[in-house]
Amino acid sequence: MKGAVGLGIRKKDAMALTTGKPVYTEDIAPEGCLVVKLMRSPHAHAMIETIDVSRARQLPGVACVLTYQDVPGTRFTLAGQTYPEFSPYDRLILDRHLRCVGDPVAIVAAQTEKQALAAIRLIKVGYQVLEPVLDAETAMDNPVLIHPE
Amino acid sequence: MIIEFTLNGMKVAAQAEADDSLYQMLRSLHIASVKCGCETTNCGLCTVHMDGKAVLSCSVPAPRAAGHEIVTLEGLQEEAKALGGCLADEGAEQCGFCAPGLIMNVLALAKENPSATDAEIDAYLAGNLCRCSGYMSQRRAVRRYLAQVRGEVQA
Repeated sequence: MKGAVGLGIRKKDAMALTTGKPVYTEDIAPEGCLVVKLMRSPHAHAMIETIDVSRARQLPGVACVLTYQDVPGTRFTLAGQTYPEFSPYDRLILDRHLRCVGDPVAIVAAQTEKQALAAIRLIKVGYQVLEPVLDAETAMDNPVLIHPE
Repeated sequence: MIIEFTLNGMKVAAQAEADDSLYQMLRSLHIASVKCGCETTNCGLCTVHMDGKAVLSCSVPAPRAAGHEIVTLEGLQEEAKALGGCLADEGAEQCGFCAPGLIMNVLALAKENPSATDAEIDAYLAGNLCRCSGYMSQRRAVRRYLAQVRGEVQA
């Protein structure tokens, strides 16, 4: 580009963004897409002891309920950009071991958002609540392990 | 229930549940500009105009729109382009997710107080959160837009 140094140049997508065009995933989802909602951990550190999704699965409109029992055992990283990525490969899609408030416990797909949320309320979880580790200094040499694996 | 109201100058009848928000009803009508950030009136993303006043559509029950005039960014494309151009030129749009709500609120400000000072701009836009481009560039863009509205500078 000739003579571009020092000039203000509008981003390619600037006007689509600022005039409210459909540019985000939810804006362009085709008609009839399922809605996915996550059930999240209320505990900072816990282990799922029991999880019963049978009632949630029977709710009308619910297409799929997934727990840690349904996901591959391959760990991946949520960090970084392109391969090779040196961050720890420490995530499962869903894990029995919950490591923060909000960690996903179950994934629900339903025809409507309301159905998905209603299904989440029907999932019965027994948690073994563990001692949380809340900062890096406490984590040093702490017998409580957030990633025992 | 069926809710009849005016949307961007057109009479519409929308299907909604009693506990739906105006935000949900607008999205169900494929109004893509209206975004939901917090659902708790803290972020300003879902701002629309109801009878000419800026409201947070996540917290207006859908049935309350019955018989009222709702305007979204889809109905204010000329103004959106003018203000959006100012935002773009000041680098005040990055992910752009907060832009429609911000623009709806700035357009309300421009109508109420086109000579707003920086302090007045800041106070008026305190409820419009942005997580990437930041507030200084937005303020410069709003200043530039208000100067256009006052006829002091050309777009």
